[in-house]
Amino acid sequence: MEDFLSRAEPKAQQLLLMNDTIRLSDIFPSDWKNFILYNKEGEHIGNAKSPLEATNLMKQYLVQPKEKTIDKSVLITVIIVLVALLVLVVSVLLVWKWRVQQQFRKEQRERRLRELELTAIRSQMNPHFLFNSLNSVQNLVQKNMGREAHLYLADFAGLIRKVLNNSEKEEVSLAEELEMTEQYLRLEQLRFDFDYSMEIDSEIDVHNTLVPSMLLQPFVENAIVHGLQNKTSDRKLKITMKRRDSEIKIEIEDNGVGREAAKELSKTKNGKGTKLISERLQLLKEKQGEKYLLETIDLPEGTRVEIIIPEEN
Amino acid sequence: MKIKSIIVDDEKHGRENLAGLLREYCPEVLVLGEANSVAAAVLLIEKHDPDLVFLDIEMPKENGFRLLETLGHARFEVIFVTAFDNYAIKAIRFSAADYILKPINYNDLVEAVKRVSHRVLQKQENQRVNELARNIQQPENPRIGLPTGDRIEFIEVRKIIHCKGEGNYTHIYLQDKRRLLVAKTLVDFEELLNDYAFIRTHKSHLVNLHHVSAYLKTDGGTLELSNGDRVNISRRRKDAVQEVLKTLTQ
Repeated sequence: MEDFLSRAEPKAQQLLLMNDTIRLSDIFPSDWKNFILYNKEGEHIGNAKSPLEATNLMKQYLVQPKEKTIDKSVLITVIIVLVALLVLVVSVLLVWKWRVQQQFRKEQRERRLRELELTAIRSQMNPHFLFNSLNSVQNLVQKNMGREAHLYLADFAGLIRKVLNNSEKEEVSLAEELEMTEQYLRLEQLRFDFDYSMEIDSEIDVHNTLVPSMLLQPFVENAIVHGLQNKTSDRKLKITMKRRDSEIKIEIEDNGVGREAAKELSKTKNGKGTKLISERLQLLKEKQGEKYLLETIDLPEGTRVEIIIPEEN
Repeated sequence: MKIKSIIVDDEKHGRENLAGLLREYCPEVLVLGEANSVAAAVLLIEKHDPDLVFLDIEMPKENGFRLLETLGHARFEVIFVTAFDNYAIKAIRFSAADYILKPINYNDLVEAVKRVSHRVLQKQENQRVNELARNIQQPENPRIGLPTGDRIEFIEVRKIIHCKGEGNYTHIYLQDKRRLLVAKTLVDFEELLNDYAFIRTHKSHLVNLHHVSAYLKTDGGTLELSNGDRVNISRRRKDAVQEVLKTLTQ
């Protein structure tokens, strides 16, 4: 090629030939030996060693000149299609990955919820509470107080039965939750003296309102074990439930020593149950997209826990 | 002779129940007073100078062990009464002190009182409870109570080289070349000593890792100990033992 170009002199005779009606041999003497052929666009077509060969080459080129241009547009189309495919594949992959991640996150949340529920059960089944309750019942038997022993044993059995049943459920009716709480309170009362009251707004349909299972127990237990047990007399616990708008507000209030004093006295595991339930409510919030709220308020005397749960509609 | 006792429990039913059971099943025990906290118990002990204290462990404010710490040295015997506390029960068993579980099986109560009253009548010093208090205060160098025959020996855990189980009995090999025979199973010792770098290498061997001097590959693995004894490693425990030894050499 280099060779041909150097010999194609003079430059003025490098002709642009696009028409086969012109005969090269008419223009160039037959002893001209070197031809370099270009098309209109200036693309190199080929080299020839005689006018005849150049003409033939030209003809050949003109018979199938379009093939090359078609080739080019096909190439572009192919590239476009390939790019489009690539984009499609990548986006499908991304969507797929996102969904897998979403699924994973959902499963993780479910798993964590299960764990927290199990922890709630375990805290309800607090061995210290269980064995001391049984010990109290034993005392009633020892004192020949058969009737009382009978009732407390029934409460005890009822509580354990509910814990076992509810452990399979994420939510229970408010009525069940309240009954369980009351059985728990009666057993705690057997262990030491305190008064409790429960006020439930009559507007609340306790049988059809669902709450996370074992929602109240950790707070009631905290109120008793940390708030009231560290006090010597006039120990009171109050549970109230009010309905407002489409929410239910639960308050658990004690007149115990308060959180600060309790922390100093026991130095241990204080507030763990609260942390767990608050995490559980957070997960339920994410899962159901509904509003749960938990707040602990220090009172001049004692502590109040407020829980707001959404009413299903 | 009556055994003078007091009951310490934060729960009224707990105190009543025990007092009732004692009246019925252990008439030799005289309950002089009841306390619902450690502070009240200290006062009662000063007042009555009891032979025996029934002590609940889990109480709000101060737990039962605090009573022993407060008094420093206990002249009286103690029977711990507890509903549930893994850690506390382990500490009690470690010092071979007496305890009963709530709700109370009156047979256990009678047995515990019998053991204790024997010591009270012999005017033996209450070593077990003082050792327990010592272990709680100095957890880095605990002493374990080993009842042998009619007496009890307190041995520093680090001086035990290995234990060999034989049915209901366990041979304890000590640094000073002595060998004790204790009426407890190897499983009991494994439970009590697993916090102190002891490892079970075989169904009848428990070894103090601090006394391992060599690992021999003969017979599918053998440990040579600081006193020259050789202890087999069973096939199923081989991996676990090697794992532990690896972390030890690192």
